Amino acid sequence: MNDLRKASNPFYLAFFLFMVCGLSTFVMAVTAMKTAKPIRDAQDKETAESLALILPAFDNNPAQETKTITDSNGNPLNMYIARSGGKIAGYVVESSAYGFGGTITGLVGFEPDGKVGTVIIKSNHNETPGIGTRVTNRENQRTISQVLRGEKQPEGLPANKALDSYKGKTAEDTPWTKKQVDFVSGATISSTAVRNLVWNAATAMRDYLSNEAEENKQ
Amino acid sequence: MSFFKELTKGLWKENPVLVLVLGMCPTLATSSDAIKGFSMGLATTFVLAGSNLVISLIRKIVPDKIRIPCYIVVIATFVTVVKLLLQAYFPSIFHALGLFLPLIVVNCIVLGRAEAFASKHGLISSVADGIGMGLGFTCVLGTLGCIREFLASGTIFSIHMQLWDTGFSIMKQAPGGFILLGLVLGGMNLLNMRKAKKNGGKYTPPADFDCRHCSICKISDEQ
Repeated sequence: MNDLRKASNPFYLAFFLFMVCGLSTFVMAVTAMKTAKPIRDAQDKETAESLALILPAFDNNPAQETKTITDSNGNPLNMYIARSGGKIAGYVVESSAYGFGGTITGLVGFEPDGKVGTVIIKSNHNETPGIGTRVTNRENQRTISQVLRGEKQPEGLPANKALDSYKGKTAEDTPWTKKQVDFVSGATISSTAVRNLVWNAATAMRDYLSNEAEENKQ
Repeated sequence: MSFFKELTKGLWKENPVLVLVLGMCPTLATSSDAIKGFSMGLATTFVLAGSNLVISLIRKIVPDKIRIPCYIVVIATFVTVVKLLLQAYFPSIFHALGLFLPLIVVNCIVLGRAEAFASKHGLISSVADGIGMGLGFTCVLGTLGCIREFLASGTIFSIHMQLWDTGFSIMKQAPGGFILLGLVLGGMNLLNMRKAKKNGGKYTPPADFDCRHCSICKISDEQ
């Protein structure tokens, strides 16, 4: 047994390392195959859950009905269409912007007439906890006395003053200013990122709706 | 008895963070709140137990010259498996840990235990050592996470304690983690010194707990 550990033939060493890597690749490949479906399901579920929170009642599957639209900077954005009884109930546009700690991705809901509805920021951002997260996170905080009394968590989407200030806005010529939407003091970069994110989605939505209207006329 | 000893030494006597002072990067980064700390600790425990098991199995056939790359490949395999499993079944934890999950590969606790323990000991004690060290890591991360989260936002496990609303947000960031870790390390040394004084001696950290027991740095000398 001892000679195996003292081996120094470079070909044997290379072969040994190759075998170790081969075995490890096999294990990883098997795991990746086994978890591929659960991972896709989990992602689909997350998208479906956030869509259900953003949109009003709908009866189709918006995750299946998607389109790609272009914002004012020329970037393609993913759009989900929700229908209720065949009529359009609302849109959700997936948009992103650079924040304090990298890219922030969000889902922006729109009413059928193009007004901004509910905004949700996806949880995989990297904003400073306690500062930037005051702009991005919707959190329902339970208090210790509620837990001790056994109260249930309230249903629905928790409020966030900054994110809710976009409700009812439409895209105009220039991006909204600090006076028009809520900027959190001390978190200017995160606030600007969220503003840009919603603004990009709103311009894309505006262009999409005006194109649609023209096509309908013709 | 030996199994139990290997299992419990990681909790206090040879705690990977507080005594061996290994794995500082994940300690500071993921102990910013309680849930993150505990989930990072448990993920690392799984990787530690698994890699210790495999490395102890192959310890007699791995040539000395290429043992470190072999160990790293084994560890990376386990980390990838954990990452895929978390992504599939616990997506919220996967998002919360983010970059620090794949970085378990280079966590020096894992390689340190492989090199210092699993490559020299049998199967059962290696697994016990991995689980014990992992649980010690989890305890420290969880405790630091609870304290930091409480000081920074008045919550523990995202439940509001109703003592204050906004604390000092520096505790949620790396500097706060450094300060708290320093205080905890100092407190632990104080306890050990008092204990030693009671027994009529002077406390010195055991020599084999520092990096001298590990031969990674000696690779270049051999050649």
